[in-house]
Amino acid sequence: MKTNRFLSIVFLAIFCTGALYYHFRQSQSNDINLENKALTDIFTGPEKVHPKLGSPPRYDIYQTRPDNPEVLAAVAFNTYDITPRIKGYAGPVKLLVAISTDGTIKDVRVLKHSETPSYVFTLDEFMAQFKGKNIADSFQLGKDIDGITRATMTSEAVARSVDKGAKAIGRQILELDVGGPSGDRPKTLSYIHIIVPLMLFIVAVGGVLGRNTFLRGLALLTGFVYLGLIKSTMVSVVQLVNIGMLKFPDFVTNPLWYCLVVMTLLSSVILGMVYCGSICPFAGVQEVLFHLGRKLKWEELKFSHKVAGQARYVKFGILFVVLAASFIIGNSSAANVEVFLILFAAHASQAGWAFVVFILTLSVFHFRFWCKFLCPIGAFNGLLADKSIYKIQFGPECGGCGVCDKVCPVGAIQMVDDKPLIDYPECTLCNKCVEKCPKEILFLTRNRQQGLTKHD
Amino acid sequence: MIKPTIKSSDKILAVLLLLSVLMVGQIMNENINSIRLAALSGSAKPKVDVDKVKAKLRQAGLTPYEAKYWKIIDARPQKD
Ligand code: SF4
Ligand code: SF4
Repeated sequence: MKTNRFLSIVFLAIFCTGALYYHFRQSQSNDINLENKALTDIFTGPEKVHPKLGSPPRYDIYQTRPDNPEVLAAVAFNTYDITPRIKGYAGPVKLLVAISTDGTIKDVRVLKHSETPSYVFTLDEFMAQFKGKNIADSFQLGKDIDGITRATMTSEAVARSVDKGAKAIGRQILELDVGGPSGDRPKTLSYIHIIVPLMLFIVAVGGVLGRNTFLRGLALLTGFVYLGLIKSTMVSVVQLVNIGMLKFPDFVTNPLWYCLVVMTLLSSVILGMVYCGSICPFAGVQEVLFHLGRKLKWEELKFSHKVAGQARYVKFGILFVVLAASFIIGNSSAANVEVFLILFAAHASQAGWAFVVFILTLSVFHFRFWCKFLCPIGAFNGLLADKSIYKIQFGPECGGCGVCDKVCPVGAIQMVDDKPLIDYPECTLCNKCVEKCPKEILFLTRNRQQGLTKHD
Repeated sequence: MIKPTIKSSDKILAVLLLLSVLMVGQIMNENINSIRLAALSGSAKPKVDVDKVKAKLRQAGLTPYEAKYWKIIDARPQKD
């Protein structure tokens, strides 16, 4: 399909140029300007801030009195200089921490982060908890510090880096008796978050290969409960941008991120839209809502093949714009526009919630409205699926009855010259066409009919 | 009940997509603003001492204006 090839080229061009631009900008910039800005914000009096120096690197802040020589009043440091390995959900959260010489935390300011913006709305209240605490205190999340709801990894990273950094500075520079870091629990690899996603993909692939509706339903339900409700972790454009920015979470603390990304990519290039068809938590939500609408006998919104076919390009437009914007801004949070992230993270502005309600309502009247026309990560998965090794194809005996076209719930099949042409980026591998074909000549097989796809 | 024809549904689709794109744009705008504000002050949200600014304005013989920007930067001006 020429259009899909063109879209793939545009995607690659934006992704590669954007990533290069981002890394070029990163190589030109450093944190010094941000640190200076935060310091002038915190120390508004006559204090004198000395340039960053020493090991561990820090700013010494002196009290200037007319009668006395300069007296050290506080020390400030960038947590990244001391604890570069502590990461939030999407890479390090860089903080500037200012400590008085008696060990009291004067202020904690965010310098840089790539966390979900809806969490940033509550980050200020979270930071306020550190103010006035003594660095010798315990900083355990959930005990001494309240975490940000559904952003445990971000909260944990902040608490641990303040704790470790402040205690190191306290011991080495201020020579205080502060003891060891309290928030540093030993890291253990959580095998359950490798096994569950692995099982999830096995069940989903089993459903596709075995044409088993029960397995597909089971995978969708597990995806909804585990990925949506329990982990609030889904494949999204934010991850795609983070990959371009080379920002990866810590494998030991977040193996699910790696499993999900790797298995989605693999399944897409081998079989097609396995993730979108049988795993995505929001897919299940939309399908249930749509069936509810039919149960209630509400009129379905049907669109013509032609217009719906053109409208599907909207999601590619969204994908390209959010990718470009994120790389230009230099923060993957700009890409956080996907409705499922808002819904399952349960943090959003009024506009975000209005959008969720809008899309959920549309899902009642049109099958997978979001997936078909708007989902940017669905668009990306579709581009991979278009090149998948195995595809649903029809045999030479096809008489052109058009049953498959009629039963396809996502409108991925169109009869052209009495032959079904499948739009692979739209096909969710539900197998309805395969099951209903009266001649039983539609089957999932190795991609041998490249020439028979739409628009060629 | 009036059933929408395919043709009229296509028009509805165009309107729905336009609305969706506008909402996505608004959400993206909010995200970008939240990142910008975070970078602006070195913290998640800048804090402005409105009373101090107002006092300075009054000192200069001006009347403080209840600008909408107070809200954007999350400062709450006192009612005069
Ligand atoms: S298109 Fe988007 S929302 Fe739909 S199933 Fe795929 S990732 Fe999920
Ligand atoms: S019915 Fe449509 S979505 Fe389902 S497998 Fe066939 S082409 Fe794909």
